[in-house]
Amino acid sequence: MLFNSIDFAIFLPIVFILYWFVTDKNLKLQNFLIVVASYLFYGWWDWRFLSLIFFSTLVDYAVGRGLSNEENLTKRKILLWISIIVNLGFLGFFKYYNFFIDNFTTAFSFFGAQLNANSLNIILPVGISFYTFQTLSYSIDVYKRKLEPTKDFIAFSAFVSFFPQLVAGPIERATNLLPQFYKKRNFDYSEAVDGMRQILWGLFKKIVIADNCAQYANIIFNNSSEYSGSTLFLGALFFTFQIYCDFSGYSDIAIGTSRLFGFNLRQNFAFPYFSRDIAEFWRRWHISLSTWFRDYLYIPLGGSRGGTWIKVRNIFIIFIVSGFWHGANWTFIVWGALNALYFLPIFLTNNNRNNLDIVAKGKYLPNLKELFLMLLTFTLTVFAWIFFRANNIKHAFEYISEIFSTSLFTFPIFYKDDSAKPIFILLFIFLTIEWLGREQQFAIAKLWIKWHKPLRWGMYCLILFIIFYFAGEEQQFIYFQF
Amino acid sequence: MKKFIYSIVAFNILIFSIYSLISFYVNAEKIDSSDYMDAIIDKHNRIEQLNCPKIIFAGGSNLAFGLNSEYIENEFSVPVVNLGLHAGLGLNFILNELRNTVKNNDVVFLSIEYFLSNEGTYQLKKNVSKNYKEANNYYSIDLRYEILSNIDKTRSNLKFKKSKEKIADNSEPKNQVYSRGAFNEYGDAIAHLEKKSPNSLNGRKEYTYSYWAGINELNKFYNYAKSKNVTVFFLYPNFPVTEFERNKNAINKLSHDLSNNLKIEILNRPSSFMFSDSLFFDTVYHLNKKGREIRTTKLIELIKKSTKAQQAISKIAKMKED
Repeated sequence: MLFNSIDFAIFLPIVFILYWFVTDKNLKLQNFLIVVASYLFYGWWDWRFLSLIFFSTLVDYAVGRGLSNEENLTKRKILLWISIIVNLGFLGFFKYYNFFIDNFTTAFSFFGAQLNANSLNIILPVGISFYTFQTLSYSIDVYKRKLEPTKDFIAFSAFVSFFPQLVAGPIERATNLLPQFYKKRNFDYSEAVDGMRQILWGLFKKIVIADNCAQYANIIFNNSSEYSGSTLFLGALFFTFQIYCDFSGYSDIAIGTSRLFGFNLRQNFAFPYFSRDIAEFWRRWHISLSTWFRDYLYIPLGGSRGGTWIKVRNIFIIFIVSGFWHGANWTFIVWGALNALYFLPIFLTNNNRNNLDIVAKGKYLPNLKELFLMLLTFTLTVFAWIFFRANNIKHAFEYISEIFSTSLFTFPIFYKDDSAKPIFILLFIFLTIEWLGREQQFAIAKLWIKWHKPLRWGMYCLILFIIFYFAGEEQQFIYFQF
Repeated sequence: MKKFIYSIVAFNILIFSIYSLISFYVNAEKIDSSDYMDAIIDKHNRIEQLNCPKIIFAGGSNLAFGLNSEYIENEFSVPVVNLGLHAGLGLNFILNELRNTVKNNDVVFLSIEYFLSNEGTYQLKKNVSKNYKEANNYYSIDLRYEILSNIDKTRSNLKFKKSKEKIADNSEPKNQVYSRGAFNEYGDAIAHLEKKSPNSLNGRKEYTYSYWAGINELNKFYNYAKSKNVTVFFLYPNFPVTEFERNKNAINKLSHDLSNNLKIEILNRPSSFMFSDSLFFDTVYHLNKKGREIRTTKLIELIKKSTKAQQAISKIAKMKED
């Protein structure tokens, strides 16, 4: 069930009413409602994969219960590894089986040997990359004794399957989300209103910006050999905004929806395109995933302790694995490696924690240096996204080499296209609003908050009208494919 | 909580009101009943005018484009109405249309496109009921689709987008092949008869066999028709030889299922209405002038060979004389 669908528009109010009016007196019943609603939400895509999420839930709950009674270190490790193997096993099979088979076959043929291995027609379960990491974080935190294992299976099931963030994050830590299922939730008017505003903004980002940019990005990337360097750069720009607005829009809707039910999810995007260096970008982009890798992979590998080569190794591992998490294609691995290359110079010169505050905090405009650094960082990420979007490595290199040809200095093909003009205006408006709201959780969190109600409602109606009028051709949320 | 609910409800009322105003203003349209699907109006007008037992042909456009009803009427001295219009309406629509139309002693010949879906395309059903309101009784309203299509329509009209291109045709709009003006008084499409066929036939596809759900629907209709003293016959549609060869397995299995399970008398075999590609106009179900004549002649022969069909038609002819 998509967030921007009639089905969800009907589903959400029904669940909301049942949650606050029917089950609010009984916490267990309320959590059970969350589980039922979440399974219904997930099963709407494909009911066959409900068994997977249920099995994953069962395994990690059992592992948690086992860890609570086990003091022997070896046995504790075994239990942890059961959780890791089951979760990563599912992920590995559904997401990476064909990738490994194809690459093994290619590698063998390179040495003149023939390997007869069949690829399988495997459907990737929606959200598997997200909920497996979420449940793994529970098992690891219980193992490390950061979290008491839960005895409440319903609460745990609700934590694993919580529908607002089930299929595309944020990847919530058990230490943050699970305890929220133990406590009675009280309806908070301002939280609910804020949640609605966040949903509205998320829909605007997804439907207006992301889907419209996607149309042009797809045209350009799918026919890249026919376009000039300037048009190809424009295509990369469109994709840059598409992926940000698609993913952060989804996160906004997820977080906003959670707030309607009295839950606090962590911020997942903190205006990453206003970053002044790559380190800051990675502190602001897909925060739940990058912190997951930091805490469960980077730090156990030694983090930034050890010699230079160890640090370099760890940085590459983190970024390449992060790239690989996104999909079974060499382009994602190269994207990760490229980001590692961007990051290393700042990291090795100890400049990776220079920009911890938001740029131009408290000011309307950045200074020239900040502007230059933002543009530089932004340009680097645009080029990295080309690998992310390209069909394969060859396509990515051809795309980039054409950008750096003399045709970069010609007018892009869309500059005369009347149908493309609105998207440029919308992007300008969007970036302005994002800039003005960059110190908040989401761009319109405080916007118009002091206006009188009729004016505020007028603005909401205007946003809805813009969503309605400028809705692009519906595109699936990009991160559903991960 | 109450404050929140009231705010949400009030806001939704506001949004709905604004949307309704916009929708009402931009979607107001001039009545245009010249569309191909509006031919249903004339077909049913004919039925009302006849007000006597008649022969009715029902199915998709294989009948619209491939029947000379006047020839059949003259041959049997019985009024004929060709209800054939568009297979995309789905089998249920076609059968519901018949349920609302047939009267005592009518004879119905069903010529249904291969593996026709029960539900058809919702948009086509909406199109046909735009100017012929009675058609709303032939299918169930899909509320979800209605809401989404209204939103799409409002958005399109707001943006003043051009309507879909009409099929290119050099003749006057009302005589275009795919318009209401393309049909004669019997319900046969005739505007294409003097036109040159395009180079290739559309609608070629490979069928995957599975037990056709339409058989159950046809049997239900048979029971209904029997209760109304209406005689029903089933005909395989015309089809190009090349397409038949490609889909031989699936069609033969379908034929086997129909022979074993269909209560309605089947007058022909699939192969008996296989024609050379050169006898088709623009799709695998639309015959050209020559193909139409050959098919009609063969159909008349089949009817004459069927005792039950002859009896039913003779009864109507006699009643007409009386």
